[in-house]
Amino acid sequence: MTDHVRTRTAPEVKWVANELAAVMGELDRIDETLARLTARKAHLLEVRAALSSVAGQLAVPELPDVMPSVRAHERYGARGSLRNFLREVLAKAYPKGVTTAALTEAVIEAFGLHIAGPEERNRLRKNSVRSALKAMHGRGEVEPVHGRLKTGGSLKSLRTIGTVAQSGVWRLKVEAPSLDELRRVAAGVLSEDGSGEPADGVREAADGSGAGGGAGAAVCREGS
Amino acid sequence: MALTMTRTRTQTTLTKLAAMVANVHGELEFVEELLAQAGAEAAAAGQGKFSPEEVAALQSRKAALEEKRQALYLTLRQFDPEVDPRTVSPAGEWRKQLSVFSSG
Repeated sequence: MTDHVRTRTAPEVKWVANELAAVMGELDRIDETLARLTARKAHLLEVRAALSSVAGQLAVPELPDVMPSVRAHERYGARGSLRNFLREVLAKAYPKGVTTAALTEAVIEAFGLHIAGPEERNRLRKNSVRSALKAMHGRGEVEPVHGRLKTGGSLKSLRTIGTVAQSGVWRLKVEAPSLDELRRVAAGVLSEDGSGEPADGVREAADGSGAGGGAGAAVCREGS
Repeated sequence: MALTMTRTRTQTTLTKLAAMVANVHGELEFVEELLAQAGAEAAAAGQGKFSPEEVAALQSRKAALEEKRQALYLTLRQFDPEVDPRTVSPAGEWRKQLSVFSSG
């Protein structure tokens, strides 16, 4: 058995070593940021020259001299970044939904936003996050799964049965048959006399729209 | 009207930029054909229908068009990074400004 020589490092040496490592790490980070910003500046100088040239081609060569600089609002980086991020978060959470509030917090963290207070957080949630979700809903990418207050309903009663969240809940929309559609298809398959009537034990769609009967009848017609 | 990044980014602007790229492509194609003809004639017979001054002017025009093209490419990519300006087909609108007709 070899002798195990235990070495002891003085605490002050440990501290200096640790601080050195952290400072060197921060210097590396700064160097990387400087390199990235230098490349970005070089690219933007080319873009400025290009835009000035195009201004000349559009017969407004004085444009570069008269336009003031504006610090444009580009919180999320490239175009579509916010929606892409929301898509990723919802895809990871699927089949569960995510509240608008939680999505807002995720956006703040992911994009490194500085939020001054609750009012600014609310504005971000309503004007940016919810607007993006509504646009995605319009394109059929996400669906709201939060309860809606019906006219005359009371918030207290809905809270009692737990169907209303303080914030909206959103879920990624996946093209899959709903339970009602599966019941209708099953009703059509099981109804062998072609009457379109569902078999015993198979219930109609909960909304009673009657669309189930029609779909069932259509399936029967195909089978007959 | 306050300028915003979204409000000024319109289909009209995209169409105009694409048209400008198409015209530069068209004129560049024409100039390159003329230069190729001049080069071929000079190689075959020693002297073609283009004088050295005309060839120099064509080369200068080609360089200017390539600079314009580069500026338009960068501008179009700034408008939409997903648009590839190289896929824009050449157009002939530039001829109207110069009253140049194709040989034939």
